[in-house]
Amino acid sequence: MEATISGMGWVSPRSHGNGKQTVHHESNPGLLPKLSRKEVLDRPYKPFGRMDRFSKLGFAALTYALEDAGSAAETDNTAIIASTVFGCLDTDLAYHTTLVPGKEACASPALFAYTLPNSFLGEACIYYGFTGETFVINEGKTSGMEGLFMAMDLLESSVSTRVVCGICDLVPPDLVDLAPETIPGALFFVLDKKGKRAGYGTVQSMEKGNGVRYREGIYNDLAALGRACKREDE
Amino acid sequence: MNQVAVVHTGAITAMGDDLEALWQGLLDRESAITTATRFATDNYISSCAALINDLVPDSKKAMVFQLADRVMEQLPPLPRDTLVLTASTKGGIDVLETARRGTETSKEQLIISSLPGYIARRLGLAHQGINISAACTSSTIALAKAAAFIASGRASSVLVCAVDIISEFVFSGFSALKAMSSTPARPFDSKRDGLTLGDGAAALVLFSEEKMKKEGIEEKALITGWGIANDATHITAPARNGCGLKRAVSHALAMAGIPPDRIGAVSTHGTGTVYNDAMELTALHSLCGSQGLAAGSVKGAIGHTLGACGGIEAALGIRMLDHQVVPGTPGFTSPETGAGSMISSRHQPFDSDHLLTTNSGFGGINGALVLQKRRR
Repeated sequence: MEATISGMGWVSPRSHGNGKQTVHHESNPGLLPKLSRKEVLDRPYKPFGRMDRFSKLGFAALTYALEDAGSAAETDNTAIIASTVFGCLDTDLAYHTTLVPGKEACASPALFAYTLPNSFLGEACIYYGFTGETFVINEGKTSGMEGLFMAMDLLESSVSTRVVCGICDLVPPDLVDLAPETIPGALFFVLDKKGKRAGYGTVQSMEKGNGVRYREGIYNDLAALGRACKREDE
Repeated sequence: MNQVAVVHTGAITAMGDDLEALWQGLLDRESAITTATRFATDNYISSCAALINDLVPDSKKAMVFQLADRVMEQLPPLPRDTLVLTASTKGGIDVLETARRGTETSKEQLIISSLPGYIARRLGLAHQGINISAACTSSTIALAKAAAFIASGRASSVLVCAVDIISEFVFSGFSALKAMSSTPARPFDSKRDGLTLGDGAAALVLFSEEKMKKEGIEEKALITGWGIANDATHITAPARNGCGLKRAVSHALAMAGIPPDRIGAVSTHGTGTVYNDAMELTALHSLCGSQGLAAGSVKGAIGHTLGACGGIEAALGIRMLDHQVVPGTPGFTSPETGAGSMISSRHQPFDSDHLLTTNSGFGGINGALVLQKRRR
């Protein structure tokens, strides 16, 4: 399977932006930035303000990726696949603190809506008018490769003409005993069918799921692939 | 494209410990919905739920893991190269409640990705697996992705384990959203006023044709088409015109290579909420008309099992194809406009090799599968 990387965007503790800038998603500890609607979106979207931290993080990174790809709303059957380890566990904990056993009045319906990790995919679909597949993959560590393979399969089978796929995780909450290795932040790629546009060039899946080939390298996680990405017109 | 066969099925619901108990319960018009006693419901808008009685919070094992253990016991040994896809919305969220009671517990089970790895280790499988999370379409999408793996040759054997339990966390949320009925859910009834939640799990094993021959196993049914689409409307309410569901079903039918009139029966999502059921009727009428279509919902009997419902309903759909009957829809007494031609409280016979099963969920997501009766 092959696909063209048309755009990339990220939010990390050190930086946020898209592939036209020089600092890419990095594995650094630290606090993630609190992004306002104006820093992320170029037109008003009321729900952005009430989204949970996980949703804002993912929404911001995929928006930066779409900006990098040039034309966000080019195709309405765009799919979105997000990979995560912890998902919205941070939001679960916040909702749980609003719950006093047996007292419904304290439970927040607005917060409950974001205790599903796919909520921000729905928000992105509303904002951009995307009607393709949207789902979240929970994996043991955030390599994001399964999501990338599924994205390439959607393009290969012409189910979608564009797929946004990536990784998204907040800093793990303290209460988790054995936290798997994760990179706090989010990194999303915009993938189009091979040859559709220049962007960053072509990514090709290896046999038996053994990573992807990009330029001269083989990559087994999206963060490494992101760091290797170089625009064709650079 | 390789053909995709379902070769093993299992289920546990409040109706009983296996798929046969559920099927018989539906044919006998039983309901597993009673007063919930797992947690206090005094201040919520409902006290109804379809809970598995002997499933209790445990300090060592989250309830979703306990339920997964039990549904896996219904499976024979699987080839070591079987991939695992789990489908769960909240995984071991009851761990939070156990911890709040001051009991020491393994918080690792809060991480939903620990579920597929647990199942893979328990069954001695080589791959750690992944969980698919897409609200109430989680297991429909997991089945679609499993089928896609086999169709494309990426895998020859995939286990889909769909499992969700009802915790106070989830119950309080649906109560706060005013989405629950104070009485057992009445899907497609004109007086429906909300859903009823339920525990549930299903396991479906999908093989390629080559794998079936190699393992000497016969198919129970084929998955011939699948479609997934977002309606891009609202994160907790469906598009009233059913655009997302229509797109998902159209894609599934196109993949199966059959026109809508070849579908003889539909296992609907049918939650019993005002807007979901109206949306489904709009979409089904638009796609299939109403001639000769037998449709039903099981959520008035076993509740809405959240991320597990698509798996349970697919397993039930295979029974429906085998017996050529859609069990009567519990709670359906006064038809919603447009429902009377498809939905019935009586068991509906049909004559077709093809059944459609659909689910929709928060985040605007919709999924559809086309099941084909086993070949003789």
